Amino acid sequence: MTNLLSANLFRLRKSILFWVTLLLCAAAGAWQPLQTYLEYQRNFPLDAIFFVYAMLIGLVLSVFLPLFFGSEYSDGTIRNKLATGHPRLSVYLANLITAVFVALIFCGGYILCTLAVGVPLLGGPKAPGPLLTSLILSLLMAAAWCAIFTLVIMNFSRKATSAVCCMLLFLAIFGAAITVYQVLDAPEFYPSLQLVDGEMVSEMVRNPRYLQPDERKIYELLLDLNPVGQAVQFTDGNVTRPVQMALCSMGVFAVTTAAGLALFQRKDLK
Amino acid sequence: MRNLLSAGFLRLFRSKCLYVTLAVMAVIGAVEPIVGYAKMAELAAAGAEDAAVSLDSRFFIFPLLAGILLSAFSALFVGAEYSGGTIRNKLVAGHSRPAVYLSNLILCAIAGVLLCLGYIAAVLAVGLPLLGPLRTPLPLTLWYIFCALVMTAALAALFTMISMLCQSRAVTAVTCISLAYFLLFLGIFLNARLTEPELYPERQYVEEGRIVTEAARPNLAYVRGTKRAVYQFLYDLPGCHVVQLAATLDRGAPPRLPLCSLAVIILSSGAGMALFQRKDLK
Repeated sequence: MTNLLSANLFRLRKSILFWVTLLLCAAAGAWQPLQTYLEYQRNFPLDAIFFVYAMLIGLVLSVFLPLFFGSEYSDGTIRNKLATGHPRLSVYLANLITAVFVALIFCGGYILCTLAVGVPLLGGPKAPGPLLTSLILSLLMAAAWCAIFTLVIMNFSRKATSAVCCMLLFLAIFGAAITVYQVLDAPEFYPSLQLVDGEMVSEMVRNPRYLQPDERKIYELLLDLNPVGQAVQFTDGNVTRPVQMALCSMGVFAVTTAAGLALFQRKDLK
Repeated sequence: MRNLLSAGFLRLFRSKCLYVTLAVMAVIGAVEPIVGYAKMAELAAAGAEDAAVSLDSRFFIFPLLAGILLSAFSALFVGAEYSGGTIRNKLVAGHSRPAVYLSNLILCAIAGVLLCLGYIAAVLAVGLPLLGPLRTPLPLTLWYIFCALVMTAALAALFTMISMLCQSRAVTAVTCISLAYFLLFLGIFLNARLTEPELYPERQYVEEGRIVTEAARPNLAYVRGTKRAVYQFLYDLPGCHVVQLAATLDRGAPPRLPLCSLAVIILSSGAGMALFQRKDLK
């Protein structure tokens, strides 16, 4: 396992794709506060733009991970690993750990550049406590993305197919999160204008689309299980269920890893 | 050229990738009206005044889905010619490079049209009995479909260009899908920026029992001048203008949109063929 990890990290260090992606993450992290400052000066707090990376990391990983790990299949190195006596479990876990490490590096690159440019331009974070909580949760969310993509990559022998599947899966998860978020975001009451005795009267009307408490809990769980759903909450600065979100990320990580491992154990590597 | 097309059609209609993407389009097309119907029933049960859900909101999303699935299809379908080595066989058999390029372009464009038609057939078959006919007048609907099909062909031209110039199938797939996402999100961003009001109108509200009047004020986020012209130009690009097509549904999309798509087809195919002529196929 240690040998596999060390080989993966060595390959990572030599990968041009890794350095280019990291550079793009860092550039995006520096650009976001700069663009905000140019448009709104200091009227926009750093907290409001800090978690843009949480929305982007899924997309970045859906591109990077299949290209990086997919070449193990296309070059045949995955068979070499097994032929040298490493169990499938170790190969899978070593790739997953490397993927999580990559995700942390990308997030770290983005965050460091956002802070380096954002703090002088927009000022320090207004609420460092909640920001730190969201930061930890967002890293757990990034790990959940890694587990999802590793499941796909390790079980598709073709690099192109796994890249297409990861990117389309990202879009499907994104669409699902936005749908759930819109349902949850419906207001309980909305103003309705009515004509009474020739005068316009505004009256607050109950919204039939507003979810009842039991239904709301189910939708909140669905939103927290979805990595993009969590990212939307971080960017909105509206993290009200941190424990549930952490448990959901860990749950997604554990379930997808177990499923991926079970499938990979039976996979015919040809 | 005719032989290339006939071989291409044979491969297209045996392609698993086409049937998978077509099935995805058809399933989404069938599920959308069912979800709308379930929502309508739920709202009616909750006593909502306006519980009706129109088929229109479900029908007009097909160019968005087709663009994304076509990006995956084109990359895998055309990319297989490189990974399987058949592209060299075609050239060795005496076919010219422009003919090889054009035949792939036509096949990808036809696949895009088939994806759109797959969705339309499924959404109408399930949606008409459940949600009733479309509320948008027929001429506007037909104009929308025409603009959407031309836009899909323009996207096919862009994806074919990438697929014919890049030999790695995985890199092609990532580039094509990233381009489709980029154009879509750029369209959403540009739509938000270009529809910003120039002025916030005067408004009245009650504060501590008094009616307070807030005077009209300019919107700082309103885009003007050269920046607006650039945004408008980008907004007309295929992929981006899928958002514009939906936004102008009630009055019909401006005729410049299919013209822009046509211009993109000509320019990207011209550039693609010129670069493909010089490409070292190894």
